[in-house]
Amino acid sequence: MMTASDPELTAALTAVLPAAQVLTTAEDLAVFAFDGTAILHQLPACVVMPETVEQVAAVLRVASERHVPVVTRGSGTGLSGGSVPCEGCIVLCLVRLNHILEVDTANLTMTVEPGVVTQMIAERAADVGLFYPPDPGSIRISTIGGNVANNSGGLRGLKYGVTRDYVMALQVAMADGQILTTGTKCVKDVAGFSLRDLFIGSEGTLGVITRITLKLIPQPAAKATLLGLFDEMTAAAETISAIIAAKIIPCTLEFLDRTTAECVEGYAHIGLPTDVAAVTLMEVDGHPAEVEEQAARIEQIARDHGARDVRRAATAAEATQLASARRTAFSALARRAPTVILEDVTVPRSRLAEMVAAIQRIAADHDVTIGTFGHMGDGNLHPTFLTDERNATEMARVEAAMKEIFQVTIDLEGTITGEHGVGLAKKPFLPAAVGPVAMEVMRRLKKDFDPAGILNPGKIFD
Amino acid sequence: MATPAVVPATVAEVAASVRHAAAHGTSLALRAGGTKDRLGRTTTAAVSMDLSDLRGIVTYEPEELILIARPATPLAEVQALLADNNQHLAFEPPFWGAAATLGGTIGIGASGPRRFVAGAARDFVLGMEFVDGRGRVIRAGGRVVKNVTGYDLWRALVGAYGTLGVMTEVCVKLWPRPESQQTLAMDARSRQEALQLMFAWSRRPEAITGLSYTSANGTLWARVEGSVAAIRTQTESLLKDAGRGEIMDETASQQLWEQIRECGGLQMLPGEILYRIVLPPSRVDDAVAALDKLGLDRYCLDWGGGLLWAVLPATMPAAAVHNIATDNRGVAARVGSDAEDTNEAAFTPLSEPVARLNQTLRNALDPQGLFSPGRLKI
Repeated sequence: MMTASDPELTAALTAVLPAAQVLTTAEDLAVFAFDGTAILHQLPACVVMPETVEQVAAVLRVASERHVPVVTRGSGTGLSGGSVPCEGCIVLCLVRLNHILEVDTANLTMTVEPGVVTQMIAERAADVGLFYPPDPGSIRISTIGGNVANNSGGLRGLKYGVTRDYVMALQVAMADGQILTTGTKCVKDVAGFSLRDLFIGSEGTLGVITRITLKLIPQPAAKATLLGLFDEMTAAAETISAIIAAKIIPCTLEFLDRTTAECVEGYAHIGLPTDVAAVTLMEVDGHPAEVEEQAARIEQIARDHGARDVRRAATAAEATQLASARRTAFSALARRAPTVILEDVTVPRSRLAEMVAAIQRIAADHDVTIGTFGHMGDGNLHPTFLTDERNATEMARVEAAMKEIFQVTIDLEGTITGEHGVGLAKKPFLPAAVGPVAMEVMRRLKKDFDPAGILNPGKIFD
Repeated sequence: MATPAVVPATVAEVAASVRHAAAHGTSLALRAGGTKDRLGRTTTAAVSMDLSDLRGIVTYEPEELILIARPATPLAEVQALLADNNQHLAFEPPFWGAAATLGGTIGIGASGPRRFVAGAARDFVLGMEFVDGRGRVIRAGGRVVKNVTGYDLWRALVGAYGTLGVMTEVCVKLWPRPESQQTLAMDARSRQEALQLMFAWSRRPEAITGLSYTSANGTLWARVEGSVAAIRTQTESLLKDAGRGEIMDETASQQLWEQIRECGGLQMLPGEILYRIVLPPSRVDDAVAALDKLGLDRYCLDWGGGLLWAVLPATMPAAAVHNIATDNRGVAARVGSDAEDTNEAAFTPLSEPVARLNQTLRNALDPQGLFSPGRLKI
């Protein structure tokens, strides 16, 4: 059987792991050659599937001794190529470290292994009347380890923050296999510097996260869901600003542009008009009396700002249906083209309308199709290119349009990745975003944490 | 305290001063309002870098929910401006003195009673501009909630006690100020009864934003914030649950929590030392019992049991308190008694591998250890 593997490396790994947990055949390796990012792929030398922290440490020791790169991954839903293998690497796949170790209802925490699917965490919390708010779009598939390594966001960022805000403590295996714990169960306090904050969002380049203690909060008592339909993008953006100016912090403030709304209607058939410029999904949660009052005000504000229609869900089933307009956006767009490139930019909320207009202009200038949806509450937009990677001339236009979008983002005081990470896809744009001094300090830290440079090399920066 | 002082007024002057200090190997004690001197160990820095002239609000955009200010901007000034716009810093920072500044607050990572529901100071810092130990200006993070561009180096400056770098601008996330508040005050029969109610209430969906217990009068305090209509029904539901107690109106409630915010309302008398101990709420009962054996005089629980302010005899070795914190999976900080107290044992010691990574981080940002040496023991 054909193998991409190095026999000596395989022998060293099977000395510390059962042979069944070391994958080396071409067909096994092929499925680990990519993540959720379009276009990028590379076969690894082998894939290991550890089941314990000790096994993770043992793999890292083998890799350190032999100077073999290690690319850590979970479900592989990343959208910036952060878990795409590099040549000759060991893929360290943590999906079998998938136990919920403890749900502590006295201290409102949950301790989990990195391979637990995030949706399971949300469900276990709900089972005991508690709430784990971060809900990245990939929540049903992605693992919590990947969420922490990328500091994933989601639809609730404005009110509830992002993954970082819920990480109390981490256990991390360092490049040499040493295990350390940073943070405690007690509201995130530590003596010394907050190392935890350094590991969160470091995309597997500083250490391998092997255990996570998460903060849970009480489940809100009530929720209201509204859908706004607008003929002008600026009217939708002004509505969002007016809601926040009225001291209301919705838990969800999402939007779809016209291209996306058309695709969603064709896919989910929820009765969206296909001639609107923007659809907004607006949800508030909290105490029933407050939710009622805020929902009524949001409806009024939207109408005052020229909404064509505002629909309010009367039942939970209706709320789910309205919310599905946003939740299905990516799937609805994805079925329209062979290659879908989901971008991830964030601008200050006051610049949203300008940003959306710029994306539309750039799409027209370069003759490419871009559907835009995203999180209006926190300014995080996902311009989504519908293209075909086999069409080289179109790909060149996509590339040019993407560069222009990043430039506009930086000009509007935004950031080139809100929640997907840098990985490979954003690496060329990072120096311009953070400046040479920050780049130098990051490289230095990487070298100090991982002297042999074996942890996810070539990601974030070279 | 280090003398004499350099007094930079701009980021360029800070950078130039740091470069000069780096060239001469002169260490710098960073300070402005001077309200946090009793927190942490006394620095051994040769020269004081007085940041008082780096003050003023750079940008305030209420609709964006952000404020950017220079570090020596008085906290009181920030709060007054926000209050005019019905906004606030949701982490409810303690002052430790009227001259408190925004930079000092971020520098020690100080959070008040609302922290257990709203998050900590570090959760509200979106980005900053700072000068590293080589005198280079770094702008990091941003002004948006979602930003994952590389390592969040700058977050380590939050709670670093003036080590690692000199903040020159800081961007914080704002929140609408709740319309009103009320507090239920209840005489608890015992600490255990108070803790049981605190645990039960911290799991309820009501907007409970303060849960504290004062040992001196055995009172449990539960604050509810929100719209006038919503808080009334919620405090009444808590009252029904507790079976007794009184509801304090908005003004009385505000005054109470301003006191609790500052060291749990406890004052150190001569011969006493105050400790701040953060631990999992489920361990606080054991920790108090252990401290009782060391002569615990009075204490206050905050954050639904996650924070314990404890007054102990000054003769008690700090190591004993740190051991109790460690045994209960927490960390303690000793508050220095006066200017003579160098507060050597301010912090619970770090484990060896964690200490090493702390040093690695410090070497990356401040390789010569110029900033506030000795303040944090790593």
